Amino acid sequence: MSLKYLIKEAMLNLKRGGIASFVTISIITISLFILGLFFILTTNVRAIIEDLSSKVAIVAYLDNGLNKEEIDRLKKEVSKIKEVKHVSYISKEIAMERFKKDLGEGFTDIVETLDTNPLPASIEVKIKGSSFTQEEKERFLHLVAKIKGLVGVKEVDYGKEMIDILTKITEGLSLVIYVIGFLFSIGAVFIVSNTIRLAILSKKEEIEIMRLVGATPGFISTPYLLEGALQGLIGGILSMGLLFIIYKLILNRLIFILTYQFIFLPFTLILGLVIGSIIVGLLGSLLSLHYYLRGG
Amino acid sequence: MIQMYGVSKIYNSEIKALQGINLSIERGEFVCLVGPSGAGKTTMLRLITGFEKSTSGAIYVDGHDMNYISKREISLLRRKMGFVFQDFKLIKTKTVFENIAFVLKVIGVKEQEIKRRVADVLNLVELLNKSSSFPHQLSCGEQQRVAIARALVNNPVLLLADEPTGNLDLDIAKEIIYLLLQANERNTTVILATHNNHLATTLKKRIIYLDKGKIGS
Ligand SMILES: Nc1ncnc2c1ncn2[C@@H]1O[C@H](COP(=O)(O)OP(=O)(O)OP(=O)(O)O)[C@@H](O)[C@H]1O
Ligand SMILES: [Mg+2]
Repeated sequence: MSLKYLIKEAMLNLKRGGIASFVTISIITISLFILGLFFILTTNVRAIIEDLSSKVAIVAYLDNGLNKEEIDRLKKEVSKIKEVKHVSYISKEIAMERFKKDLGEGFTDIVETLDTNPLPASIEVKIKGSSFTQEEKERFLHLVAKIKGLVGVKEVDYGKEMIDILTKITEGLSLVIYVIGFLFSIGAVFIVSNTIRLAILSKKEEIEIMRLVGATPGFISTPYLLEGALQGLIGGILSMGLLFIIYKLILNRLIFILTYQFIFLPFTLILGLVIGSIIVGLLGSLLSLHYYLRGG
Repeated sequence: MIQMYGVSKIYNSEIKALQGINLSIERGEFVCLVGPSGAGKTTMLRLITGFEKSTSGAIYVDGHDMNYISKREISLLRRKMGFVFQDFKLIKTKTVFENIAFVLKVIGVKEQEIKRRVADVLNLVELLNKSSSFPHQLSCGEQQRVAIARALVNNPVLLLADEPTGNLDLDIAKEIIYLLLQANERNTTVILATHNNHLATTLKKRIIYLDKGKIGS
């Protein structure tokens, strides 16, 4: 049995299958499209949360009158903590500059009247990690306590409310994503494999004829397996293409309303969906063929 | 060619399709299997093809014990057989040429050789001009001739025909029977299953009567 025979046969079956092939591929495309749309939404919600999470910083206000050595030692000590990504020192002067900027032109007079700079120097600590699960939140609070305990640190500040909200959303969302994602995926697998199973069911007679003329089970099943895989592949590619068009035409333009730039599915997920679709197509064929060919 | 010793076939542990069949069919014979509807004719042919296993008794086809034959051996054995059915059983999505060529592809015959042999056999059944038509574009008689061409293309040692003339009017039925007789003259063993006793007796060949799953007279 040559490769040329196989590919020719699979393509011909697909072409001659007409409406049936069209329906099968359409159903695969639609179910993967819905699954993909769900993944786009979750990918973007995740991206938003990660973006917010990455902005979280701990500000440690320093005791007054620390000398340069003490400050450097403190910076070093904080940098050594493994959750810490970046440490920067904000002197009293810089703090004042920022404060003035925040107030805006015209209000700086108020500050000018002050004799001394009341703002404390601080170090700003950016942390690693990009989401806040309950576990990560606890680690974060632990880190806050640790920095607070350091000699030379008077007070620490971090957006407590923000962290609480992020944690709640992250926890709730992962549950939703896993549960719904699981159900959607199961649904897609079921629909795709069942559609292909039905397509093969309609070839019951054809398969019986092949057995009758002495074709071996391998010879009979290989073109059908290939056809199933091909339908999975075509459905997979079409659904991703459709998804990309929807993304370009609609989601991508929402930036004007939402001031948020939607992102498309990551390449690995696209690849995963297409490959998954091929495998499910293959398995759908395999299952129904097994049913016909067990008798020899 | 075919031997049966005390063969019974019971479907769903209650329907006795065949009971205690003993028979022997020699190489080169032309045998009519005659009986009313439900007598067990199709069942007997299915046992010979290995599509069905007997409930008890032994069947030998071309020396193979059908109770102990492997899947692969069945495939190889079927390549030496040809089949014709009342409902033709042509593959709808393949052309006349492809339906017949298919049988040879299965055996691994070369492309060039396939073309030659399919043309020969289409010539025999006088359908060379319909070679690229699809089955639904043909009349019933033509479809049955394609089915016969398919059954004959690999020069089978055994040809099984199950009511091949059932749907056809008399003249066309005669043509079909003529093709079977021709094949028999080229040394193919032919078993023709039919409920038409009149047709069978006019052929003046060996007749096996089957009634309610038993051989009668
Ligand atoms: N797959 C099956 N499952 C259960 N019963 C069956 C099956 N095939 C045949 N039978 C039964 O076995 C008996 C013999 O059937 P069979 O098809 O062999 O008869 P037949 O002589 O070919 O009849 P006909 O002339 O109508 O084709 C019938 O009673 C039929 O209902
Ligand atoms: Mg019958």
